[in-house]
Amino acid sequence: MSATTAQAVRTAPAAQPPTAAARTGLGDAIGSEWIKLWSLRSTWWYLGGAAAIVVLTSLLEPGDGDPTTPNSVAPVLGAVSYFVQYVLAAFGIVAITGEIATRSITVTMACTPRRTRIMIAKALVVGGVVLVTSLLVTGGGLLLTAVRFGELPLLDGAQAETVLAASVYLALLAVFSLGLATLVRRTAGALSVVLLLLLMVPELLRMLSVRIEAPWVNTVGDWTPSPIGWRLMEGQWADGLALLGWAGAAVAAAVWVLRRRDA
Amino acid sequence: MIELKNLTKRYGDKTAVDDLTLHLEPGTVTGFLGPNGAGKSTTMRLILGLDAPTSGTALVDGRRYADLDRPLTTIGALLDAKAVHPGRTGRDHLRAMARSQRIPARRVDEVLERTGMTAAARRRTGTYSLGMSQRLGIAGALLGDPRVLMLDEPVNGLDPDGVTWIRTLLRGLAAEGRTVFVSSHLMSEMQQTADRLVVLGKGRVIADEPMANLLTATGSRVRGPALEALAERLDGARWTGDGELTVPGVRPEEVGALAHQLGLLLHRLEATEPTLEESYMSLTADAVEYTAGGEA
Repeated sequence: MSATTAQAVRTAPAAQPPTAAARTGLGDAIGSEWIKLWSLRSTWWYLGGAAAIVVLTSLLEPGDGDPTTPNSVAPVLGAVSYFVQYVLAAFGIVAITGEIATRSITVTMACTPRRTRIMIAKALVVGGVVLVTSLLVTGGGLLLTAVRFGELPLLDGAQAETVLAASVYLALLAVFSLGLATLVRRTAGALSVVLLLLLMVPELLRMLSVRIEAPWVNTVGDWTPSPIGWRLMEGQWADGLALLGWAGAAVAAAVWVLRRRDA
Repeated sequence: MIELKNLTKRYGDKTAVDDLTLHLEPGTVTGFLGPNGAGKSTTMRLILGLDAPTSGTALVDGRRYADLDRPLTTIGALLDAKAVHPGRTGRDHLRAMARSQRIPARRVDEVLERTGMTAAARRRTGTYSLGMSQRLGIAGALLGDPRVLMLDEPVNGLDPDGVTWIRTLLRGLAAEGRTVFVSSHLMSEMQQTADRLVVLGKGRVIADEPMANLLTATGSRVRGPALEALAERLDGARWTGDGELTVPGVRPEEVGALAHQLGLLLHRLEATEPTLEESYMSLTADAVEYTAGGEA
């Protein structure tokens, strides 16, 4: 009896035949992630916190007393490596763990069943927002010092390059953290792993290489994210490609896991 | 419409959904009943592609959920009302959902209006009661104006007004030709809402009946000074008071004819409409006996 009904329904034309133009794509997933990001107060706390610390550092910077030479980029880079990078790594982490912890990830997956698309959209939004924020914050910090000491030009070519390098580092680090957090699933766990990797692993490997007299162990440590970041900010752009590798690998692993795991 | 074919889901050695085959038709409200842990929520998660089935298929309008483009325009679901970010407002939650489907933002305000959530829409969902969260979840399910709606325990946490509202809403959606699939452990609620009842136990369908079948099995209640002879002749008759006999499943006409034949004096004879609870109990009891008998 239900067979006839079922057949009747199957032959009935679909109410809204999907057209090529109506199909959703990555852009729609990005748009959704964008709304989600900016509708949380925590986003403003993370990005505002990063900005505040750079502004504070720039205001406290004593200056070199010579208005004819540009100020050192050291204070801004110090703020980045001592504080800002951890804040923005955490920002990348909560972009996914915030959804996992509240189970709202199920709503995201119901809206966008293609989980690869979800992950790519998150990576692009997190990476893009961190890149732009970092450009504004580190660039703004250097401009602030320059204005304070009446220097011209406000920002020279070398400084601009450092600003760009620091911003690329922070953006890729945030994307790496996002991918890693997808594997770890919990905010505290993911943050521990990222801090361990950034703070401890290079140092531990350096000590180990001395102890076992194996220089290659130290070399491995040199290719973890934070030493790469330093070299990138010193202008070694080629080394920065390795950072792209870290971020890309983390996102690829996240996609793999997301596609296989039950939500 | 929803088609489940031999759907099975195991978590380790525990079978949550066991070889489930089910067709849900447009224009009907199908009630999905069963105790906690029977596999109702898992079945719904499998339909939405949140969990991957161990074997079998779940199709919505002939396609796997993962193959639907703009899935919310085909099937709207509410699985877990509290699965929202507490720091986001209800309206922003819906806006993000709408954007992913290219649903215009004005539709968000329409569904907020329809679910009575306009006033609370700009508050963060962390401040919502369970009832308000349910309404927001239903707003999300209605967002894409889908032909199929699937709601897991939507009545939970709603006040009596909300319960009536849900009942009217679901009846209305089915009347518009949509497929409505709603789970509950409240049988009384299903009695007034569903056209068809699917009862799940330990991941298996133990009863699947049109509601009409479950409710038309009229019985009789009979009063008289000396009904012992009647009680002996009627299977299942039981004393429900001094001189009062209740006979499930036997219509008053038959009871009256038998009393006449036996020459008994009756003081009262009336029909009893069984509640869904009673039908449910007898159905599940049959299923349990059948299973036990089959295995013996």
